[in-house]
Amino acid sequence: MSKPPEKIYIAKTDKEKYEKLEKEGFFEDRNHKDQFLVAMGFGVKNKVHRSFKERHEFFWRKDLGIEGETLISAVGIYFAYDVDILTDMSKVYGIAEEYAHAGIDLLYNKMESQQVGTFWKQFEKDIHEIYRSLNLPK
Amino acid sequence: MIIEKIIFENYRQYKNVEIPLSSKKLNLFIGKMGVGKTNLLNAINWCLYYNEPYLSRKEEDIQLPIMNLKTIADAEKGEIKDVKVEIWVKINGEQPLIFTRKASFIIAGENNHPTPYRSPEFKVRSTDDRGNTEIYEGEDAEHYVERFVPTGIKEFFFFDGERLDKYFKESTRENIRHSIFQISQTSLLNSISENLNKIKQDFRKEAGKRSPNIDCIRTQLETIEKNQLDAKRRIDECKRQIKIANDNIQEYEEKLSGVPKVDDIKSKITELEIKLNDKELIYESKITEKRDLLYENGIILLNYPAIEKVIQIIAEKRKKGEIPPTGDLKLLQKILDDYTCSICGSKFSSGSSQEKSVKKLMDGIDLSSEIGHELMRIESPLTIYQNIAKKFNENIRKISQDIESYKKDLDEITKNIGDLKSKIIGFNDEKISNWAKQKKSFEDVRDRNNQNLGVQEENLKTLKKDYERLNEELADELKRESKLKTIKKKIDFIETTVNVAESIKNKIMEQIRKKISEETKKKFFELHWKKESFNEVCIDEDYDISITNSMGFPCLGSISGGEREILALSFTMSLHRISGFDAPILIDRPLTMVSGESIDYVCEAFLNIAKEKQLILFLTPNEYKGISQILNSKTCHMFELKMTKDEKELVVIEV
Repeated sequence: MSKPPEKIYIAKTDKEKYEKLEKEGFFEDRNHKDQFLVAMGFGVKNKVHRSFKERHEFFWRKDLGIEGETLISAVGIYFAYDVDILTDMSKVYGIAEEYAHAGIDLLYNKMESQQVGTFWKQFEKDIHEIYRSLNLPK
Repeated sequence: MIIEKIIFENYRQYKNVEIPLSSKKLNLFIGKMGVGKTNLLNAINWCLYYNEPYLSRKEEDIQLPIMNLKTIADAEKGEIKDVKVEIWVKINGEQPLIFTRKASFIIAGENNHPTPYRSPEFKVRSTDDRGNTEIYEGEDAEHYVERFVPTGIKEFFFFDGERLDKYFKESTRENIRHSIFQISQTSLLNSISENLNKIKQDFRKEAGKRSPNIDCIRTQLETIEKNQLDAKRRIDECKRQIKIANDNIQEYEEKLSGVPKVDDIKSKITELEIKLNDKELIYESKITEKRDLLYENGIILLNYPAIEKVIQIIAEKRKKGEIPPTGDLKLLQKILDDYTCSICGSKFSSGSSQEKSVKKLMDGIDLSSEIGHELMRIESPLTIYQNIAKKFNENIRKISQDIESYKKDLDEITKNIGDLKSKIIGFNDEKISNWAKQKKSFEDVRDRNNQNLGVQEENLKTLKKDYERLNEELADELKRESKLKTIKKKIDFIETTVNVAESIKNKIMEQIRKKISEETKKKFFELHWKKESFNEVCIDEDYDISITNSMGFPCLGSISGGEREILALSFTMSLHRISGFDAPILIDRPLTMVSGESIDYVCEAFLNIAKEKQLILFLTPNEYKGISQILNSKTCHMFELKMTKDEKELVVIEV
């Protein structure tokens, strides 16, 4: 089983998008780990991922904690359709980074088309819709 | 007694005017505000008492000279000019008594300001039946004024409408007691008592010289007498302060009636603003809490398909017995690669039964122990995520309800603040707040003095008891000393005389009170237009005036402005009748506090009063408009007061 990477990367071109989302308020007071996980979530929800070449170090893997690592492992297994992917953790993290790359793009475009206040409302609405569509037992 | 005419020379607006007054009819003066109506009242006061109590604030503020402005303007620098007011009074149809006050001024300074040149002179001219004229000056002249309208009771002859209205509103008991005391003319009895007491003290001193015991009691008695006087003075002072405070409280209450309680409202606004601030902070923190919840739950919900899928995989593997892992594939692979058992160290060859056994064992294991362990490691956080996702709606609803509730509170508080602010908008809050503070400070003064009054009254009671005890001791001592018999007799005599004087004074006052009470009632029912509405008007032994309606209930506080004026006039007329000073009544703006249909009735009452007494009224044209049907040139002796174009001189036109 290969060791997981020490650092989590984003595409170099995404750095500006993360900064803009932070400046505009949506990522305000959120650390890079949380920003990454929500970007990954948007990619996962929309089932889009994109590879990238030029990388930018975003945060230390240890910052993820067991909860963050678990989410990334789950995403890895989910899209590899095989638990064996866990033997290659660099692959697992690579998948997560690709989904985050696609997700941040979606998020950024969403923000660009709306005002900050409206964006929060839209985000809340989206999350409620996702919750309803999941039809979870209470 | 009537005023026959008044002659003015250079007095304020009255440059060179003679006003003849009617003895039979009501004398009515009509003039605009500021034309000089009130100064006619001032002129009479100036002539008789050398003061002008009704000066307008403007006249006081800018210190307008008493001399007519046109006279000043026309005068040469250094010229001496006189201001003179002459009042011709007729008593019982005799020859007129003429009161004249004259003040001389020198016109000097840059603005030709009149400066007093010599002391004002006051003269009274009296002519007897044979035509002999005698002139009185100084004290003799003042004595004649006292026969006309004594200084002490002049306030019951010259009024303004506002004061007439307040007459039975403020410190009624004190007003009535003071009036009756003045009318009773018992001050002589008071001074008799005072002088006798001084003589008594001298006798005691004389007795004290002959006996140390008596001297000791005498000293104590004198101390007590002094303390009693002090206590009485303090009591009077407390009462005076209470009256002043009550008058001021009343004044501020009137000012504050109909205006909002600014201080209370401001403190409520501050209280609400603090509450609003606190709630806003909580509201903001709830919004942040909701955003955090949305963000953190959002991550879970966005990634939920992966979470759910992996939980499902783990469950399946657990069902198959793959979790927890049953063997270690990695270890078995190493044994095959090395042809050596890692546990016992024995070697085996390719194709041996041992190799076959290891391969068979490997075929039975699907999941490596590493993956199994990893899946077990993430199982617990995934289950937590699942539970969080399930409770998302409940948690977000709860926090949204909290936010909604705080928002509602904030809106309500903001609205309340707005409502309160709108109550004080347009008002001079600083002024109102100052009035409220002034009122409070006068209430404090009143309460402090009420407390002090109680203490002083108790003190006086104790002093009286001590005085009586010591007086008895003194009498005993005097009895013992046979040589002091004469002094004792003298002291006893003085004490009896003082008691008699006090008793006479009280009896006179009591009699006068009763007479005034009866006369006031009689006059009130004569003058009032709805006699059947009332059944009693009475001044009781405590000098409280009460008026009872036809149902038998006291109603002084609820009678109208017109009725209050009739009551005050009835009281005044009874004072005149009982006092024997049948002087005229002058009222400036008598209808100021009368409204509605009462105006007509009050005017009718004026005509009735004028049948038996000279009545002089001052009205503005506006006040006169509504009553010209009742008061006109047929029923009254009317005068119109007008200013000349240069506004410096008044013209009096008989209508």
